[in-house]
Amino acid sequence: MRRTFVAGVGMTAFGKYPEASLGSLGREAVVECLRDAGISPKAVEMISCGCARSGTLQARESGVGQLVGWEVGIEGVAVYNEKAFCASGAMAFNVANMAVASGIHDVALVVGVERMSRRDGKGRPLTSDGMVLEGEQGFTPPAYYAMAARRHMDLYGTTREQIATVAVKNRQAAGRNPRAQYRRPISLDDVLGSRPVAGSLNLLDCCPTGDGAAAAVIVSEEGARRLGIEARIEVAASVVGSGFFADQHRDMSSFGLDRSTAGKAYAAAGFGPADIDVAEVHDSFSIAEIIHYEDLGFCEPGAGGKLVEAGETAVGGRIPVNTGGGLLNRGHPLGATGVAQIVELTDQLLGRSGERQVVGARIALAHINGGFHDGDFAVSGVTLLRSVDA
Amino acid sequence: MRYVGEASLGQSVLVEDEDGGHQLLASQCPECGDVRLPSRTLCPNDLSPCEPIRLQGTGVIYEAVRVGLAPQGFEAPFWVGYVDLDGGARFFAQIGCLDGERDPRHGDRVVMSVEPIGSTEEGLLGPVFRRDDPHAQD
Repeated sequence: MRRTFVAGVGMTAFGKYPEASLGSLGREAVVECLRDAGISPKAVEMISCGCARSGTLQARESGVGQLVGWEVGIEGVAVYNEKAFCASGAMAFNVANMAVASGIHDVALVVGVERMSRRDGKGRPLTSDGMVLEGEQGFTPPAYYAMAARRHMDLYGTTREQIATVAVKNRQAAGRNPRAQYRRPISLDDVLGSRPVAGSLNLLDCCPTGDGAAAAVIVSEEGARRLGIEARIEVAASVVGSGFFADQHRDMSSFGLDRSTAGKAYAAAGFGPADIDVAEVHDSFSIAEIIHYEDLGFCEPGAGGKLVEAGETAVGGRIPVNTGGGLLNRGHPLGATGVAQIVELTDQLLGRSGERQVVGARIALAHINGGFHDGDFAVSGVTLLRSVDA
Repeated sequence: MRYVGEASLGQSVLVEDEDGGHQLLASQCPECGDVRLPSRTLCPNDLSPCEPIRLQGTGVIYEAVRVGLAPQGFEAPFWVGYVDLDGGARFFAQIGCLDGERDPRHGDRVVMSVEPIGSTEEGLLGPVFRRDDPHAQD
């Protein structure tokens, strides 16, 4: 397999843009991304596009990647459309990375896009395709995470305040990200006093819906040479996996699927959690971030609450997590999120994150979950990036 | 009034017995003994054809939470949770908790009753798991 590199990134601001379309959102992110990479649309050899709900929400089931390509004059190329729930963008990144690593293409465009604030279709924004029987009985994603929170609190003594600290920390980070959906500072009392959603989780423990797009260009060394561009962010690993559905008696205080994908990613990259300088993790709900710390190896099982309470995962701490505001505050236009994580980490590794810069960051991790199936997540994805500019 | 499972799976997860009581329709692998609810055609462990079995609907709560913001078709508040059923399967369902009862929690023994759930006009009958002794403290 060949080495692969992120050569450029771009994204829209995330928020509610009812006047925008999948095409206009994707166009804005891609144009910024191609300019960042310093390449023309004609240089793109393939498009990999993640969009989770184009069919149910926008009455466009297939061909979102073709639509975005059409918007920016990319034609006659291979286009892959990935649907992997909240991990659709991460899956698109994984597919493009495979194509470049394998030698089939030298220049791949990844785009993730979602439009949720206005619907041209009849679907609901947050359905759980793999949990239809549970949905018939009142299942909601926050209820799932609230059960995980209760197990974690029972087993490890994690406190409600520690869980709410994730939301406060990530809002503080979002305040320094002009592209985040929610930026006004919030306090622990704001989180604890917000509307109850499920179990101990309140509204400010839950990510919002929204609109947005993000894009990245992946190149091989040969591709970079041919285009005369500098690509300094290496993709050290890109791993995705489906859930372990046969295990009915899973421990909900830990997500075993994430341990599996993270383990494979660390093995492929040749480094481990102690080497990570900055991370983006799937904080769809505040408790999730605490569990991810543990499953990704940032701390021991059960120590996640104390890690965030001590400020270790804030900018300036030992391992800053969700410096862009996370799903909770940057927002979560489903298909765009996995690519927006790559945008944030690329900016961090290039030292261009402004007020939220993690000084000296050289190695980064992106983690995402997508959907549910039979009680487990449908998808987990872990991407490792490293700066090679030395 | 429909049973849970009819809309999502095409068949009810509940069966009525001769006494008018209800049981859960599950499957078991004849090779490895794995029990699944809802029932499966092939065992995910060894691809053996599964056989139908009925479960009585007794078990232990693995975890449960109160839903405060209801999804479409439901009225908050109500409790949901995972129940580890006697017989082997883990099953997501509604958990019964009346005013004055202590909160359901990990380890509580439960027994199934079949009750109307949700707030849709056509009505939905589903399993609701209630504690043997919802006032017991420890």
